[in-house]
Amino acid sequence: MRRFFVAAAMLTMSFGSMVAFPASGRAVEPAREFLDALRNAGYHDMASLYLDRMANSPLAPVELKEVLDFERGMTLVQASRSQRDMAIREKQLDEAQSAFDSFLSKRANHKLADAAKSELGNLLVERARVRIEQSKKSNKAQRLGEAKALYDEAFAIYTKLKDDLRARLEKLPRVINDDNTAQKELIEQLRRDYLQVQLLEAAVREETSDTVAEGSDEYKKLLADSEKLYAEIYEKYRTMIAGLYARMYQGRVTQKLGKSKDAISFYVELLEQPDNPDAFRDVKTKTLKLAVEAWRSEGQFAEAIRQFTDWIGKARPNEARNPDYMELRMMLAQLSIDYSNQLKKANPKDEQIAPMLKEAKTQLQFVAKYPNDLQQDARKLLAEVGGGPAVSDERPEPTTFEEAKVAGRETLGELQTAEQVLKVLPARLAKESDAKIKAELQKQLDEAKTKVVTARSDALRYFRKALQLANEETDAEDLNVVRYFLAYLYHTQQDYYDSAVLGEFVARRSPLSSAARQCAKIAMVSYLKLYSMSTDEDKTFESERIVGICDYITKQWSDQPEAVDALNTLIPFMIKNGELEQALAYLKDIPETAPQRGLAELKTGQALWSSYIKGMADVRGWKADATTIPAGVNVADREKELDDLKQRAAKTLADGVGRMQQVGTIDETVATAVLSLAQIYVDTEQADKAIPLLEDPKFGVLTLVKAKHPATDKAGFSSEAYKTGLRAYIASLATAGENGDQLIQKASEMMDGLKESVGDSGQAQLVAIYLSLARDLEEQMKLISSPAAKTAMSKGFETFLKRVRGQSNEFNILNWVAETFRGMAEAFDTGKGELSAETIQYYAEASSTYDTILQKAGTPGWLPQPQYKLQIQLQVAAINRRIGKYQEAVNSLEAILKDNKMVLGVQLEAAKTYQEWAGDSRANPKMYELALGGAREDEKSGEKLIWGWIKLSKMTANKEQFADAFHESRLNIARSYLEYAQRSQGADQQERLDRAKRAIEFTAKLYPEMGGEKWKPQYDQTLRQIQSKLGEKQVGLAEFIAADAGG
Amino acid sequence: MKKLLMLLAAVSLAAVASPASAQFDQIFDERGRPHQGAVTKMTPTTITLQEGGREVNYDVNTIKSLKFGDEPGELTSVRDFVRQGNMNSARDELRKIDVASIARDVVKQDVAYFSAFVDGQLALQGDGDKAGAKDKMFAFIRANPGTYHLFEGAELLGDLAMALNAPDEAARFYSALTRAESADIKLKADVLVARALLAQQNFSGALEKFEAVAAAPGESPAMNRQKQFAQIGRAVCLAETGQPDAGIAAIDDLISKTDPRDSELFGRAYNAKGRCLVKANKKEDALLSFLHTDLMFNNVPEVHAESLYFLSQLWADVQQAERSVRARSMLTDRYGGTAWAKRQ
Repeated sequence: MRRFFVAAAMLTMSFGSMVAFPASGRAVEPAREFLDALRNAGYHDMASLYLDRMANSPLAPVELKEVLDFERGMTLVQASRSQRDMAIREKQLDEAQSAFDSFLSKRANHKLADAAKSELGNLLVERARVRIEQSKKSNKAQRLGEAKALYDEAFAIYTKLKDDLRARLEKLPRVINDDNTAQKELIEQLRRDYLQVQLLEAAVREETSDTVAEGSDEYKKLLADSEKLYAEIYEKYRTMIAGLYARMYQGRVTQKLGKSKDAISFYVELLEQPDNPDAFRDVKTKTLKLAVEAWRSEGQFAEAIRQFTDWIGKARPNEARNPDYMELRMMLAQLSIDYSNQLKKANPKDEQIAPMLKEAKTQLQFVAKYPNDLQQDARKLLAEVGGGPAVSDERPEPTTFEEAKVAGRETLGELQTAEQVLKVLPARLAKESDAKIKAELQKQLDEAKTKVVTARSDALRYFRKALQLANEETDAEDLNVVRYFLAYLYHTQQDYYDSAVLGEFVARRSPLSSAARQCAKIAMVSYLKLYSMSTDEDKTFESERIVGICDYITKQWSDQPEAVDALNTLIPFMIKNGELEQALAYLKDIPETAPQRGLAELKTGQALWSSYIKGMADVRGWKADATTIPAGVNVADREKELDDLKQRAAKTLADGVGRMQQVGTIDETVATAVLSLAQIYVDTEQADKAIPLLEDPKFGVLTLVKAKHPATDKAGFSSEAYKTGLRAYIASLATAGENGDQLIQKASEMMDGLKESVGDSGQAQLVAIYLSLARDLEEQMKLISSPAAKTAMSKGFETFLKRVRGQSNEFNILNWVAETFRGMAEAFDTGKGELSAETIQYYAEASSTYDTILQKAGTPGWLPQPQYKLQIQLQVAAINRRIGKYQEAVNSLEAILKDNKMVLGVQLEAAKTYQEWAGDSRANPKMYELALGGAREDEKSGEKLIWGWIKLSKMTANKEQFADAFHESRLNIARSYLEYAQRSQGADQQERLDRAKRAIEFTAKLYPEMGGEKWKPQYDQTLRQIQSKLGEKQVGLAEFIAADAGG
Repeated sequence: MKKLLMLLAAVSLAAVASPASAQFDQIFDERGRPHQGAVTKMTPTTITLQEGGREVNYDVNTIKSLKFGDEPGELTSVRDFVRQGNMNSARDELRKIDVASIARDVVKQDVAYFSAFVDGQLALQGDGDKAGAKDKMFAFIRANPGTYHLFEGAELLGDLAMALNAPDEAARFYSALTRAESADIKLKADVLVARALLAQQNFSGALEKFEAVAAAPGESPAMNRQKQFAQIGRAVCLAETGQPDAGIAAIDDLISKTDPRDSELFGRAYNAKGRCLVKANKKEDALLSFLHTDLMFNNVPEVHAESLYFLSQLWADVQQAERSVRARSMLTDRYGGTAWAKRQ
């Protein structure tokens, strides 16, 4: 059908006749010639550029300036015809349409206006064809519907144009003076245009039938309309070649309507036309090809064979081997074979059979003899009718580029078929119960497995051979297509280096080739594979290649989906390399309207967020241990950078989420991004923004988690979602006002969800989650800069926690409440001076909650792990110590030690408590002696249950696993004596200072390492304080080192 | 070289031997009208034809062609092929000529000239030894200092020297043309010399010469053409000396006033504009300019070769490697003998 449109244009030579710009013989830029030359040479991109330049060039002929848009449209249409890439083709058609629209809006009365209108119709037809092609791959019904709408639109354009032209022709005088050349030319032009548009109208009606169900009423109606239109053209223009074509197409449409006899009558009418001029010969050749099916369906083999034989016999020497005649010969051969079979059925001894087969063989031998597209088919058929050597499955070794290319493509087709079989058959095989069929299927499966291996190897061989056989005359495009197939095959057999290099070669060397984009994609994917497969630590090569090809793709095909894929690949690499600015710059390169923009933003935002989280983990590590700060890093500066990173992550994710909400796609990336954004909001005191995001009826991660959406399948996703929800609701309590109860209800639901998400066996995990949640909240409270906001949040939080505590009997919940209260207290605890009322209150709440847990701990099985009790007792003691309830603290520690006095952590805590107690100005300084020497005698053994620092140091000495406890004890012996001395007078003071000093001296002599970097500076600092008090020179540990050196 | 210049200076006025054949010699004037008679005398500037008892002098510069009455048919074919630019066929015809059977010296001279000329042209196209061809033509002129082909021969010697990347030597050959009587040939000589200076990157020297030609008196079509070539050369010099926009304006002015049917002139004009645009760093516009020459004004090998050279560079610059390779291949395949093909 496409050929028909071309034919229609050629027949009338109307709309295609361009305006000549004055050139030859006149002094001016030879624009028309140059434009045509550029287009003919295939430089459509340069032709477009030239037209752009001519718009403002003083050299441009005025006539050209008037039709710049029209010429732009024509250039794009021509470019689209040679474009095999559907996406680029559609884009060119879009641009062409804009150009023609622009032309018509500016030059409605120009003599090319009709041509522009006609081209607008043709563009719609081209688009409809693209949709039909697409319908073969996916969304058939939708695509065909779109195609039909486009065809209908084109038909309306043609009809309107036809009516306009007729009206204009009718207005013109019937008799024109011979001298009035201009008028005569105008009439001639309008008549040609009129004929052209009638042909287009009929053709588009016929072609529209491809979009509806064959045989349906609509199908028949469309074809009947087309038949009528063709008939009208024939009646009006039967003496013109265009009229004959109309008749031929009328025959075709009639045949489609099942009226073979009528069709035959039209065809025969055309075949009886004279053989000259050449245009008639073309009509007759085409007619024969169309007529063969009509003759077949009427069983008129003899007539068909007669007509074919007659026409082939009249072939001119220059026609004999052309593709049309080769095709006619193949058709004649097949007709003869089919006819002989029909005769054989009726009477095996029919005398016509032998001559029929002879005729078939003669034709087949001719076709098989010369290189052409049908040569292989002819050889096979010849073997079947016994007219030549049997054709083996093995292909002859190609001797030309073309042969090798065709062999490669055919083998590739076989490979793809075999791969398809491998995909489909196993499922069928599993379902099949019939043993015989099963065996047959298994056989097919085995054959397909073998075929995949052999076909891939053969296809590779043929394509490599094609490259070897290429010469100067080989079409560059064909060559690139062969390279593309090779790159594809290399990739499928995991030769990624070869596929990458070949793909990149085509992409960079021939960016205009239809294979270029695919090759670039293969190169990109291959480099990614090489990157992931590389076991080298240094992946610079792979990384550079990926960035290089992706960067090239984004620049070369900036408006194509591949560019977005490339950007999506590039961005994570840029982020990984720390090139965040570049990453964001690439992101900006993705058009905001591109469907992939949102996804890219999500990925980029996600990458930025991950980078932030990792960065913060580093910072926390550096803060905990200053020795790990890398050289040249300023922690404060890094924190500022990270804060900026967080803002960018939030902005990028918010943009992406907003865009994805419009698109409507929900997948893992979208869900993860929404969750990350909610987490950022919670972290940055914007819980009010986080909640709508979490609860969004379509995208909200809580909605998705509750609905068990596949996008949330990732392990840990649902608990993260509930955690974030819980934090957001709690954070919102500060400003909730009357909605507090509602929020608390929602927060409770989150906790239920959390519990459900870990399952029955995940209690320990749940505890861990609650603990981490408590830490998060503690962090969150610390991060709140405004004291008022901090207080507001803590108040809301307190209410919530108390409510939870009152409602829950579960260890996990109660423990979490206690931990959270403790975290809140620590958030207010500056560590200096008097504790604030809030700090004391929250510590007390925590302690009270721990007490509740300890009361319930006696119930068997209530605690998830028995050792939790000890941990909680210790927490209680630590809180009591911190709030100055030393007696209670010591009591609880004693209670533990009664069961087991060997618990080192408890002994340390007890010594620490006594030391702090002694340090309280209200306490008796003699308490230091308890801190040093221990307290609370065991009624049974008479030994002290609490050891104190001195015994602790003895019990932990020379045991590597207790080294820290030993040094903590030794250091605190010195500190306790020092502090004791500070509250003593005279000789007592002197003696206690001496003891303090000796404690360190003793340690220094026996353990010169002094506990390394962790403890040594602390010993040194304490010794300096002692030296100061003794009125000695404050040289710290150097005193003992010097003394040693001195002997 | 000095020897040649001396020879050129001492242009021979020796009489040509009388034709032995009864057949007439024919001179076709610039309108293509035949004039029959016997060639009696030839100098680098004039051919004297005895027509019906009177001697008529024809300016070599205005003669379309000359045919000796008794010349072998192959020589006539050679003249035709050379006129059509079909040097391979001309060489084939030359090989068929039996020089020993030719009686008249002037005919022998013509065979020798065309033999050297065809070899030279083929060498310029990359088919043959340029140095050998130059020597052959030089030897011919030395042996026949009065030949009416003198200036064409000198021009070819210059072209060959240019192709051998010896623009200084080329300038000396071209300067020999200044001794012609015809004013337009003198101007042509200056243009050629200026082009040689341009090739030596002597932009100020070339500019001076081009401007002198452009300002020279005289308005004949042939002189005006040389002046236009001078304007084109001047534009390139302007671009090379930092004034590409002035160069572009000059070429645009020329294009707007000139008949595009003069393929060589337009080819050179678009090449010059392309070079100006390259200097102005407008690569896409430069490509369009050189494409004018490549696609439309490509019948003068040296001019087409120049456009292909720049196209191959520019296509590579705009990431069109395949087009670049194609342009380079065409340059080396068709014009392998030119200096452009040797340039990297």
